[in-house]
Amino acid sequence: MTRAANIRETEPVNMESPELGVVRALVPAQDGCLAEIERIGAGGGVVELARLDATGNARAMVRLGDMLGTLEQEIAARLLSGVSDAPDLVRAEGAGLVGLALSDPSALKTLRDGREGLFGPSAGSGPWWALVEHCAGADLLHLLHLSDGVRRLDCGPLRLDARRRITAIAFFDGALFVAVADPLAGFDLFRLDLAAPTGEWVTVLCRGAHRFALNAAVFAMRQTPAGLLIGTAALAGGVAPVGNWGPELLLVLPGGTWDLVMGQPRFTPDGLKLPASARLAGMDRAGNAAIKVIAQGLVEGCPATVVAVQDFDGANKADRAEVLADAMDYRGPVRFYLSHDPAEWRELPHALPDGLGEVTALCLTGRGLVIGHEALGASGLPVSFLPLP
Amino acid sequence: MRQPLFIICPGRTFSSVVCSAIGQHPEAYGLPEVNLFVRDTVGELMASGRVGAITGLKRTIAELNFGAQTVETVEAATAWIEERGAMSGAQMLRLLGELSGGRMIVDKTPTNSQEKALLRIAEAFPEARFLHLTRHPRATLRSQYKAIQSRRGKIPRKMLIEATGRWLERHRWLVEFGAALGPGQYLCLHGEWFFEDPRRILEQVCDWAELSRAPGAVERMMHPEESPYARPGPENAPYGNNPGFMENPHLRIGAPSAETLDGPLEWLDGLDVYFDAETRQLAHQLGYAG
Repeated sequence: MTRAANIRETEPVNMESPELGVVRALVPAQDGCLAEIERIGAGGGVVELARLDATGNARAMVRLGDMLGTLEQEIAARLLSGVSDAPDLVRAEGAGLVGLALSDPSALKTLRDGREGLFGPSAGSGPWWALVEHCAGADLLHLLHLSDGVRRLDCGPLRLDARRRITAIAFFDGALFVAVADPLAGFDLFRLDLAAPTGEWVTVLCRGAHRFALNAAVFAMRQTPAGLLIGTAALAGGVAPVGNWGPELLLVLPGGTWDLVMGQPRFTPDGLKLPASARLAGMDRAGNAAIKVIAQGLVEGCPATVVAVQDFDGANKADRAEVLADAMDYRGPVRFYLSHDPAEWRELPHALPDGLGEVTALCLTGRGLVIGHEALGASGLPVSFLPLP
Repeated sequence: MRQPLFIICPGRTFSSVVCSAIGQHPEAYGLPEVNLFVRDTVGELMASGRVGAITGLKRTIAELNFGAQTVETVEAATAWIEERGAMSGAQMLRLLGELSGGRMIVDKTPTNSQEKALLRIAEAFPEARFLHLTRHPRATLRSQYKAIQSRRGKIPRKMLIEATGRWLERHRWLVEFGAALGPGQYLCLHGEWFFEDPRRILEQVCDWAELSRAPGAVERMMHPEESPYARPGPENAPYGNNPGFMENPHLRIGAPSAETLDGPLEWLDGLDVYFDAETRQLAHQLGYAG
């Protein structure tokens, strides 16, 4: 049984003309999780932090605008998505958040110039953070060390331009991993050793790991016990697609080799790749869908991974070179799959509505799966809950 | 009988050399173009009157059943086939498998990629493997154009333009066909990769098709010129394979020339024809970004 979580013990944030609430991040905290929620209204946007219990009910909520300046509040909110690894940034007391302590907020100002950014998750990254600036010509990438400050990285080898955008970043195996979308040739994945961050970018995967445009982009990367799990999307475009345009799961292993977890069997320069799960792309469903969220946690005390596979639900771009904009429109029916082993995945039945909106974050708690998504309206908490097992 | 392997692709997509290479594995047997699935029965095929369509089958029977390809054995093979005219193409293919000593039959006949023929194959061999070979659309169509021109001389303008859609039409159908097959039954091979590093690809083919990687097996596959069908047959059955391959059947290792999806199709001089959006998308899907 799935249900929409309700706000308890706190009232909804009072905003003028609120229109859309989106969960930007869910991270485990105590026996539940922290949610970063962006609320976008006619008068602008605000960011809230909500402490949720293990079943997704809000126990406490704080509006960051009350505590920090405009610039810092959003940056802080995103930094807080790594609260479990950076306890100095936030201190939870009981059911509420009582303080924020950025050691040097002024340093963070250099990261941002009013443009949308993308922070790397902190899990496993230690003191490292990364930020992408989506600029008109080509994305910029910054690396932040909490004690050493901020540095803009030379991204020349990533061949970024208006068509090749950074769509996901992750820290794994002592390195920064950056996924670059390419709607024509397929995504590339690069690695930068954090022990020598001025060193060379190394290409880990290329040409959509040799599925070409059918793996145009990577939107989700998550460190798991087996390796760095990568979820893809084809971004089908406006021309009627043929064949299987479902997304894949790839696993990058420490050392840089890779396996196909779920997807299309194929010959590659890296050897024959057959899906470890015996499931074809799209978890055996051929439509245009994307894996944009992956969660890692414990289910009944065992490490578990959950992926969300969500269908495309928009109007495709006619020009394939512009299909990255379609990434916003994977908000159709969603399926969840749980795994304790990359070779075994089972679908989690649910009764969530098809019009749930884009699923943006997942978090495994001791009771089940907290699902962050988008929702219209001021009063709603854009969170649902799926009990497990 | 081991399940056969069908190489499916439009014409001019390296299928002769790939088939001959795989067929050199000691546990496999690569056929010439036997056209067994374009008609309901072998008798209908023999009666079709198309010399090129039945030559490959005659050569195969001569080789497998009579031990050599000579004028005399081809005559004997023709009579042998005619006695079995009521057989379906699938029954004949199974018989070829038995005659080969139970090896995995590799069939690259171009007509197998036609919709009707492929459905016949899938029905008769539901567990078969299908290797979908691809080649850049510009290189494929240019090569097809040259082949047609060499046969017909001047080609009517309308036919020229229609021919530009063949790459899309055939690959689209093959991709759709492959998507309906079970896991591991269908794999797509970027033909250009094969020439860049054939050994590496052939090793993967062994793994996929459950062929041994015993010492010497892959080395044999590197010599498609050793195939009994890598040269013209006797004067009463000279064809049965791509003429260009039979002229020069050795592996030519190295990356083929770079091609582009942009710009007019240069062999259609003056017609100002470009690849359309559908062709470009399918090309991107099959690994041709440039």
